[in-house]
Amino acid sequence: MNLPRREFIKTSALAAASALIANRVGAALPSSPTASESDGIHWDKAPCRFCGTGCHVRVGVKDGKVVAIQGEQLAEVNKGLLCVKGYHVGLALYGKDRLTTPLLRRNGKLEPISWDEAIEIVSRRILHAPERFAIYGSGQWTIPEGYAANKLIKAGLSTNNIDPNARLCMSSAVTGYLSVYGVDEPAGCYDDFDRCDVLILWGNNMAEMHPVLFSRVIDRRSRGEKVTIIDLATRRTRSTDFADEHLLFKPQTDLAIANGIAHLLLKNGTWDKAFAEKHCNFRKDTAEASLLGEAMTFEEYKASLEKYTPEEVERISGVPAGKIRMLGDLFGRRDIRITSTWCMGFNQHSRGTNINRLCHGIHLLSGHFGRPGDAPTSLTGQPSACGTAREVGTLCNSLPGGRLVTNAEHRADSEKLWNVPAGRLSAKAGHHTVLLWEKFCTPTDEGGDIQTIWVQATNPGQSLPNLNKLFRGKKNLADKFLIVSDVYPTATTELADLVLPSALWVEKNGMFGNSERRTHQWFKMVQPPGDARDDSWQIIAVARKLLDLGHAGMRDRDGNFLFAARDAQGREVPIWEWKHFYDVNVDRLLFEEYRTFSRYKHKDLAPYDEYVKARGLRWPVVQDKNGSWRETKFRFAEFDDPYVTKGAGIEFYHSVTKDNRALIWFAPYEKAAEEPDDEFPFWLCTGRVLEHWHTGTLTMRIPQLSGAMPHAYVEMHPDDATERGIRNGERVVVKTRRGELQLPVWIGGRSRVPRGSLFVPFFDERLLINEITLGEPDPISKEPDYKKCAAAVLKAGTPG
Amino acid sequence: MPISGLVITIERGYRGDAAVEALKQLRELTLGERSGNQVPAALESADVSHSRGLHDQLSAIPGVTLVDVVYVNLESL
Repeated sequence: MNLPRREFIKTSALAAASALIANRVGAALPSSPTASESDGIHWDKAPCRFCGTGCHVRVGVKDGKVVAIQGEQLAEVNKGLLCVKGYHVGLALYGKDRLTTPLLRRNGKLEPISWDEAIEIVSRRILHAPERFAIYGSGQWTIPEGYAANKLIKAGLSTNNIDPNARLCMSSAVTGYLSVYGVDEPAGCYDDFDRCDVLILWGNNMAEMHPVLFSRVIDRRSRGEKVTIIDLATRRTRSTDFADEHLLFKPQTDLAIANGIAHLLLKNGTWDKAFAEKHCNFRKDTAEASLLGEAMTFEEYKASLEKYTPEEVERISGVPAGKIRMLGDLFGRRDIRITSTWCMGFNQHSRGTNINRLCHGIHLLSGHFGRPGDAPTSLTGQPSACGTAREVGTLCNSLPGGRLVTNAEHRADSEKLWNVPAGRLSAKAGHHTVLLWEKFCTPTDEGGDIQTIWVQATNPGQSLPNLNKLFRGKKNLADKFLIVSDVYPTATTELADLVLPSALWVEKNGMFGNSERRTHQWFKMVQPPGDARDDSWQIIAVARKLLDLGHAGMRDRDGNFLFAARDAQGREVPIWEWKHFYDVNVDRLLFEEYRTFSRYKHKDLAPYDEYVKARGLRWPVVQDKNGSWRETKFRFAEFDDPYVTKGAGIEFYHSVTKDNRALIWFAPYEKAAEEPDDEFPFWLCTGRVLEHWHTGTLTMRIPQLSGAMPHAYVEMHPDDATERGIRNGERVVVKTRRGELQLPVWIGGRSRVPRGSLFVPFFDERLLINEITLGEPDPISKEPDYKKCAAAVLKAGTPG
Repeated sequence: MPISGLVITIERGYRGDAAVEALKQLRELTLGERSGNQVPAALESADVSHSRGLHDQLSAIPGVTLVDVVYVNLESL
């Protein structure tokens, strides 16, 4: 790069930083700020491709290539900031080993084939046995992609054999919301982080996993505001460094801590009696765990909590009784606002639904609900886990917009909206993720009723638990067929029979839905490499081929193709042909159809073109009398939610008990599915690190990120290491009942685990920790527990 | 030559003032006009590992609270 250009770029960088600061202090901001408008760089907006925060970036494109990334100052989510992954997101497109042509495995080797051949192969596999075909999707699917796949499976093939990887990360949050409020997703939003007096991180390393949101909180402190951060965790993390209180608890015992808080609220008489009596009912689980449980009286609820004294909670959890009292006192105060937040610590939990319920319960019982800053708010890990998995309903038991496949009215309503004949939709739920893969890895004649899986935008060969059983089991089953649409070779493509190269992020149009109910939109900015194509095109091309091969389900009730697209003049556009796919905006067509589903559960979405103008809008988005579209920040609260009856104050209008009340649940502390013992004396916890996103498919190809965190490791306490004669950096064997893995030890590393605990990140495909994780699922959400199993550590070479 | 735009948040009072003085000593850093407890900056580094090292160095300066990256040019990467 020559000197004048470097100086120009430096000036642009400085201007971007200065503009952001000016924005923060309230100075005027240009309507579309860019670092440089006269540099030959064309700028456009897009949400970041990585986590569920939903930061907006400005993407700079020059000569058909992404050349610059800037935090979007107009975006409320990130206000111009990005994390280390976000500002390198553009490089995710340019790894050297992008998949650029379809590949078919022949004689054990993947060989290039044409798209026509590939679409024919997929279609004939489906046609051969539609009931044995499944799609395994993703919270990284765009909303239109997920919607197209969902429609193909449910309205076209009349099965429910579709589930997203989001089952592995947030389904316990879903069942928590459904069983408490009767409707999914948070009532509050990120504004709660700007308004709370106390932020409680429940097993959530927000500083590393949602760093931009955490910056919003820390920035408040730097402006002189007081925000108390309480870090409830099973290890010390970067979040701990900023916390006022670090309460270290034994894995699984968050259930006892939550009950201890509720116990104190009742014992001290500091619960919000007026709020709870007016807005809540009490609930407990049935003998066999169920989503909606059964009613209990307040007296029964109170009696159930009696044993959770601070001393008993200390005995169970290891958190001093005085600190439990401190938490009880905080929730008992009316003069402060408390926001609780959580992510995988709650959700990847063998009692994930219950701990979600309990957290909502202490907010409801204490009345810390319904005001900005006073809220229980979950976070997600994928950019569209909420938008595509939860809202589009790409789960095996869901229909779009919060409907259920087992509900006859919901099916009939969906058949009407999809314009397919009555009875087209199946009432039988499909297999949830863990069962789906178990069935795929089981011989057909032994009950393995799934023969073909089409994976899009995810990497189950690395992210599933207990991989040898749930993924590698496919290896010697000749009649099983794995199709993978992805952008890079992965642990999943290693076993794939057919690999389809996909377009990534700004190589296609897209829409995501983030953790705070915010729907984003972006336009295609650069061409995908080689013959890579959009996932939604792949779905539609297969649907069309199925129609041509005579599958009746590919037509609606009027005989039209399920994915028929028309241009402005009403002429049908053959979007199943790649050369015509961008003749119309397929995203707009799919989204406009999908949004008709959104009103049933008051998740109203605005017209597509409103999202083009915005940096995301939070649903429900309703039209004001003047014709403008208005988002909703705080649901169930009259001051902001248009669906709350005037004068009601708070109204839970999707109440399970049909009386506008939410449910306060009791759930007992129960031991984890597998706990340390003499043979396996350690707790093994897995998770993410700041530099890498999930299985590392994208971030390991970005030199700046892979260089900063090049490989996985096991963290252990120095005293545990000393006792075993293990030195920092030495390779050890981590062993569980499912196998063993060699890893280097990192003592005093990124996080600090307590004695008796181990932590291993899962981003490294060369060191697959999920070969040995347990993955015991929650009985209701079916989400596996990746955070707890029993393990042993041996020096490498020691007889085990 | 990676180039990035930074917002450096500093503590209030003398520690923040001292942090700004320390930042001025870094030749890879071009500082903009300070606004309250935030300073805009452009960072130019020789390569990726140098860039990473500089970020760590900035964060470790007493009185620096946060280093946020708001712009990255990828042309030379």
